[in-house]
Amino acid sequence: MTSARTAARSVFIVGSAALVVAVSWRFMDLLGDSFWTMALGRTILATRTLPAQDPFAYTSVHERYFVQMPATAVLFAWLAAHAGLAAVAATAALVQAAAWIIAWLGSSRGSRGAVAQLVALPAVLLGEFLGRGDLCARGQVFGSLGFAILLVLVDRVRRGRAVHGIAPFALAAAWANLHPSFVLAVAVPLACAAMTYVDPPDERTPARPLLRLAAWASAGMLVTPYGPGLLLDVMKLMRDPTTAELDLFQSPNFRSFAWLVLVVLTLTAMSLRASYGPTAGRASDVALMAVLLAAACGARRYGDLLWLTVVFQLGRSAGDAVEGHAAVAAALAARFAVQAAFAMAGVELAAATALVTRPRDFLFQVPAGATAFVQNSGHGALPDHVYAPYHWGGYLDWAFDGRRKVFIDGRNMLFHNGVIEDALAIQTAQPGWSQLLESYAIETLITERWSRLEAAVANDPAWQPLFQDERASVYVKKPRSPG
Amino acid sequence: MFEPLAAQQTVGAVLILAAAGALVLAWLSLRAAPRGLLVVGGLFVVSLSARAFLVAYFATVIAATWRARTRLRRDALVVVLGGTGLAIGLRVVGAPASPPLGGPPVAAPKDPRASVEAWQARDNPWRARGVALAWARAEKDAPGEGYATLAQLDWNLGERDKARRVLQHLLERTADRDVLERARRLRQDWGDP
Repeated sequence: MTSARTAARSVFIVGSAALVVAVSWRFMDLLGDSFWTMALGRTILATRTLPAQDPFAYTSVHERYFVQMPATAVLFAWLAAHAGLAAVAATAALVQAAAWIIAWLGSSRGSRGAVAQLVALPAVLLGEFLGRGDLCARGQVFGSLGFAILLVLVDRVRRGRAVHGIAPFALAAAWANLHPSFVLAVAVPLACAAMTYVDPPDERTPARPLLRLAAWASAGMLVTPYGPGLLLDVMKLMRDPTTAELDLFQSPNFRSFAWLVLVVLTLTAMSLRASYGPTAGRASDVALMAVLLAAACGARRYGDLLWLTVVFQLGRSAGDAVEGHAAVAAALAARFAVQAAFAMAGVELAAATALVTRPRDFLFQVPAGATAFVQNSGHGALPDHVYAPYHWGGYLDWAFDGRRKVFIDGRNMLFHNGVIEDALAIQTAQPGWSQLLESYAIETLITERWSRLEAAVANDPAWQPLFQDERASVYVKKPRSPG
Repeated sequence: MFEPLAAQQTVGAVLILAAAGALVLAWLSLRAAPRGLLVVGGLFVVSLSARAFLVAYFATVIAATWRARTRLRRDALVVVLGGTGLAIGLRVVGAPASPPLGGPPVAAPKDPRASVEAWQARDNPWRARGVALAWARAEKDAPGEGYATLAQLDWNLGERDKARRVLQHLLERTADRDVLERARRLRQDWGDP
């Protein structure tokens, strides 16, 4: 490779990475989950201990409380305190972008690495753009990063390359403290080991290194403040019926454009892998993608893991496919590679700059004005308890700063006592909603503008409107005779 | 019939897992037949969004697998079918057996005492309080056990003023001796405000 081509490729990588980071930053929001994570970290930093009881909600179950991502909570809280909300969003954007970049760069192999990168880049950008609705500064970004690193480790092991045990150990240890998806650090190598038996014996990669990887990861994921207790709590969370009720853990809309793109790319990657590249591990690669496809069909949460795998495999197979047409590829590369790479990098850097310099409002998704009004309405604070929808409760955790307890927030595992169903019934103003509010002694409501609850409350003489902005309304219960 | 699959229903989850397992079988059977892969892939996509097409999808995969049966390795078949069967079994066994706990109280419970106990057993004293509130209201001018239960629950939840008001109402108006005795004990336990 000439020095000009080397430089061109480096510039292309830098420009592309900058664009991936910029897109991630552009769509990174702070939602309720971001705020309860920060509120939890703030509590940990203030008390220098992990709370044994839920510090925020008055309706949560009276069980021992496990902080499921202590490092994320402390990191986000520290960043918010020392550098503001923008720093939290920027860190989350960098982590999310790092996951994409690792999968993207990991897909390049051998002399056709540039082709792999060129083919996989649009898939990365498409994945970022189509997944923007779920993008939010929360532990999940670390889950994506952990998965991308795991993909690379598993791939190295399957290709017979050495991976020191400390790598999966450290990955699992960090992952376990950052996001509950750390179980994948063990589950994926084990699944890959099992799937080697889909390959014919002469195309089979050895399963033992994968089992060793899983063993090291198993040890690593116990390095948490709770030891194995956190793993048990996460297993409980996975089986909790409230988890299945979350939007993220329900099937995607199979008729949406975003889903169609993902499934078509997955099937394309499977087809390419079935036809190109080394025969060793071919069928098991296809089987792994099918397993992830099934997971993504079951829950939207796994869609981004599938995207990362597809990016990885698509680039890899495209590079392998070009190996078979080396003369054509070489001719194209000789004529266009250097100029095209520099031109693309220029466009990417310009686009990245435009995306990064656009102003952001990190309180756009939460009822900041309404919550401030509840705290100080001009005639003092409004009465407890305060209702806000499930996805806004986390912001109230943060804004109330321990002065009040909330009705519900985004930590579903603490509300398996029927509160989640009740919160949904109130949110959608089902018959009996006002009795539910009374049961939970709710005197103040923060409702979403134009929601069914707002429409119902507006027509109920028992409630008085006090505040309204473009996002939320505040209603307070009129005084009535006791009993 | 033409609605999309949804993993939240056990049947939907089983069909999704079976479809994914079938996809691996199809890819193993048709790896050298791009057109066949295209048809199977298209049917898979369509089947997810309209379950009626699953019949055509599964029929195509079965036909492709049958034709390639001599080429397919036995252990690959065992792994794919076994893995899919295992996943389906785990999903069926692991499906939440209990219905959702909460939901709006559209009617007053027939046995409020049992309902209060049930909500307390579910670690939701607020819903127990809601039942007691409806119970107390149903007693109207003849306050009885419903009021006593409401007072006790309010007290336990830290709503001390409310609890004392309810208790006072009970002490002044109840005609039930047992309830009156219980109310007096509560007043004694709580002391003066």
